[in-house]
Amino acid sequence: MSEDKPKTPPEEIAILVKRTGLNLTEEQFQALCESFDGFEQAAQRLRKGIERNDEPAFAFRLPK
Amino acid sequence: MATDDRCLLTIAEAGRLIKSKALSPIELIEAILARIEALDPLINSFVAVLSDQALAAARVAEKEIAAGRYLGPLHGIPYGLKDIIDTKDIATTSCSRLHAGRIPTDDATCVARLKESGAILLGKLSCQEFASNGPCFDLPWPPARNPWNTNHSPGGSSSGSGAAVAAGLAMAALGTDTGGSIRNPSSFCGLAGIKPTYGRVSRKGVIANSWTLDHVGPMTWTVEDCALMLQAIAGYDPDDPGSADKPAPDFTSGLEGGIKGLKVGLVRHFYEEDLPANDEVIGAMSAAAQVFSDLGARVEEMRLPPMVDYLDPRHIIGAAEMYAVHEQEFREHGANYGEMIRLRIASGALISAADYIQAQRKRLIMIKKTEKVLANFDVLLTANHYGPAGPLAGALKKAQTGLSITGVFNVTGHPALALCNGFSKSGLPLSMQIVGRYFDEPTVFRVGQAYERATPWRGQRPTLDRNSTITRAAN
Repeated sequence: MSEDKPKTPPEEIAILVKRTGLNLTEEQFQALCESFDGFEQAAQRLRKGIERNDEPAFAFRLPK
Repeated sequence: MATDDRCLLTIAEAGRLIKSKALSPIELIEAILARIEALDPLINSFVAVLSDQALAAARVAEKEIAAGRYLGPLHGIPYGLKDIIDTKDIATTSCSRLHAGRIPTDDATCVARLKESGAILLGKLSCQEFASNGPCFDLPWPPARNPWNTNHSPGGSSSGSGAAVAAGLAMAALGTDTGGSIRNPSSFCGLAGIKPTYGRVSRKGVIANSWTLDHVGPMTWTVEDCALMLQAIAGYDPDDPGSADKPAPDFTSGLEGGIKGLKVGLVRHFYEEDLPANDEVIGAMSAAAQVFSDLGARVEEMRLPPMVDYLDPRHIIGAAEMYAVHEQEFREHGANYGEMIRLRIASGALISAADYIQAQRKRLIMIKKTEKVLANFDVLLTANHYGPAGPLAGALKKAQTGLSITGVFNVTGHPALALCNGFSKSGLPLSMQIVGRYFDEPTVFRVGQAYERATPWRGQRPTLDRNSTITRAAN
């Protein structure tokens, strides 16, 4: 994923919302667009440093 | 002993008096119910007070104890439950319109265990809706207020739990913690509150927020009381898939062991660089580190990975799992959710499967990095929050992502104890976190106990006055 992924425009977020089947008011949609950027940035940042063989944590068991 | 003095006893103190029959459970429950009636309107910590049931349980406790059937240090002790924890035949609302009439048919495992210990349930405590964020002003229940200053937030999401214990309306409370919801109200209300190791306490019968990140734990006035409560509720539960098959050790026997020679790793960068705290927090942390040194611990500044590396996966995992929990009800009854949680749930709906899995991969990397560092120390010490409690109205936060010192240890699952380490100039509690190795709550408690004994903070309780807003008062 590109380091400088541009902010997702509202019209694309609207498509994502439609696919989920959620019914949002205009005000709720605007609030969602604002918060979505934070999640997108988090999703992009967290991918740094993950190696091919790294497994998800649900494959991990805390030591007994 | 004056009525109110009894309400302000610690569990350990009250337990000794009850055991020796110097204190009647009935008189204790009557006193505390009277205090709740008089003072809870100031702080809205309870959503339901179970007076009849509590008094009935107290009468049973008194009979049992008189007959020589003393169950242990929690027998006859009054406590409250965050209202996302199921209670059989008693409404459990999650402080949501959606669950307003919900009556569980079974007790949560932690509740059943507290019953077995003889503890007495006073009522259900206010929380932020479905243990999410807040405060929430658009719900049938007004948000809880901070007993140290009722214009200020008690923190959340275990807001009522924090407020009730600090105000002396319960000797203990259970909360839940997905990103700081035990530790933040403990911090803002001046309590000892522990998020135990992931899996240490069963979550069966507790409404889920995020299965990866959820923990259940006690909130009390003192470290010893916290250890006593954890003793009652900890242990394997085959009905909770996340429960750790690990026997609970004795959390209290080593409390007075001191901390001479213990290695304490000070994670200063969390609260001075990653998320700079205010001067009072920084000052309190420096003073606390000095107390540990004076007690003989070896305090060494060290570094964990940047906080953002923990919080990025936390936000993705937390939002996605919260959406999964609420997906059907949100689609069908979305209007019944409050404004704050509606945004959080909707945000989770947009997270892709790939984002979620990458977040879980990153989580494991962060666990391993943290374990590698923690192997060199007995405990870590860091701040709990970047400032004292803010004004209640101003606490409304719509941002869904951001840094938090507490959320780090939800990602890794290490036990983390929030403990008062001073007061701000305005009289509000300040707090720190003591973080231990997996399942090493005994050491965490031992360190907390040593600090608590060496400092004066337990001598200060909030004073609630029916006729005025609260100010801090010394005992």
